[in-house]
Amino acid sequence: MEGKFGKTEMEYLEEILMIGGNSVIQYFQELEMTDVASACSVASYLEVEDVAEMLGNEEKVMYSAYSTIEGELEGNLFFAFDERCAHYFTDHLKEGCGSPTWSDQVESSALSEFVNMLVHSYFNRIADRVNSKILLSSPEVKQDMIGALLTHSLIEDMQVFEATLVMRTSFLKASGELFGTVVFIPTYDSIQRYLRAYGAFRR
Amino acid sequence: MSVMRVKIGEVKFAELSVVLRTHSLGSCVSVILYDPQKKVAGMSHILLPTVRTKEKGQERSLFQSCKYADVAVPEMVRELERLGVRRRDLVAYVVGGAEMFRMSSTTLKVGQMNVASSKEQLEYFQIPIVREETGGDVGRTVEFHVETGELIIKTTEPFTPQAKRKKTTDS
Repeated sequence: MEGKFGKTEMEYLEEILMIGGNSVIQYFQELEMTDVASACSVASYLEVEDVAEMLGNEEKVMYSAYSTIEGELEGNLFFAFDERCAHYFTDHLKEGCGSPTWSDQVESSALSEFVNMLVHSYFNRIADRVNSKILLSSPEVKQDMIGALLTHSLIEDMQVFEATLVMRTSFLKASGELFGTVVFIPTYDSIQRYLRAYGAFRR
Repeated sequence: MSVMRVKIGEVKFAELSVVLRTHSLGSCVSVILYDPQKKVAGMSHILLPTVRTKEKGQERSLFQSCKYADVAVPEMVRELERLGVRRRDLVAYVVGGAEMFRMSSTTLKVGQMNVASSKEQLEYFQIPIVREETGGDVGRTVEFHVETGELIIKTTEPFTPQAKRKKTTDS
């Protein structure tokens, strides 16, 4: 990452994230998961310890789905969510299948597939906006201390910089309660290319 | 008993009744250097194995540099010597260096590289490792009780949504 974006570019980045955020809200609505009411996006530069604590206590045990993104947009992607949220996803899927009991393996697999669809929904809409191609690896879902999971994404940036660009979209219930957060840590070059394609540097 | 927290990229030193604590090590490594006679210890939370060549020689603060194993360990040795500890009295503990995700790429092997670089530094300074708990795929929180030399490593138990639900119901 060779430089930092200014206020205007950061606002464009938040606008782009909202495209993905709204796509996920729509995805939830199609599945009749109406508890998820809104999305809120923030782009900011954070130091390593702040990234680790971004979602609260870094020792908090959470689920995190991790994907790498390649193509015209590159970087690392996490979808972090807590246990309640995991139950909500899997219970909903069970209802849809009319199957009240699943083995642990099936339940974990269903959770992974659900998250896979969610992150694809998020990024495909962002890619479509500028007709770019973005390839997501299949997400790996892991549960552990959120600090340990998230610092993994900082390794490349932190070899050179003290702060990194973190783009995140939080999904909220109508009550304001946090449902889950997509965290995207892009490479500088690819996000610059995307902003150009989006028209952000021309306006 | 006071607890001194060591954040990512920091090194801290303590003596007697203090507990040194660092949270949520994933691929990061914590090296603890300890003089059991004088009851003085230093703890690091290392993010990366080595300083990149182009950064060598640049002015960097101790806080910034200590995210690298090849800077943090020498700095700890230097500071402990300044505090009156003899290098030959030191022992080391090495914890962390997990690979949190299975996805393979060179970058993601950084846990192993952090461990290797830390151990290389300890070998250079001829400091014996008395306990090592590294690798695997779990996050770790580490506490070191300076008075007793006790090292406590906490991990989370992996569970599936269903297994956790059963546990919750039982209680």
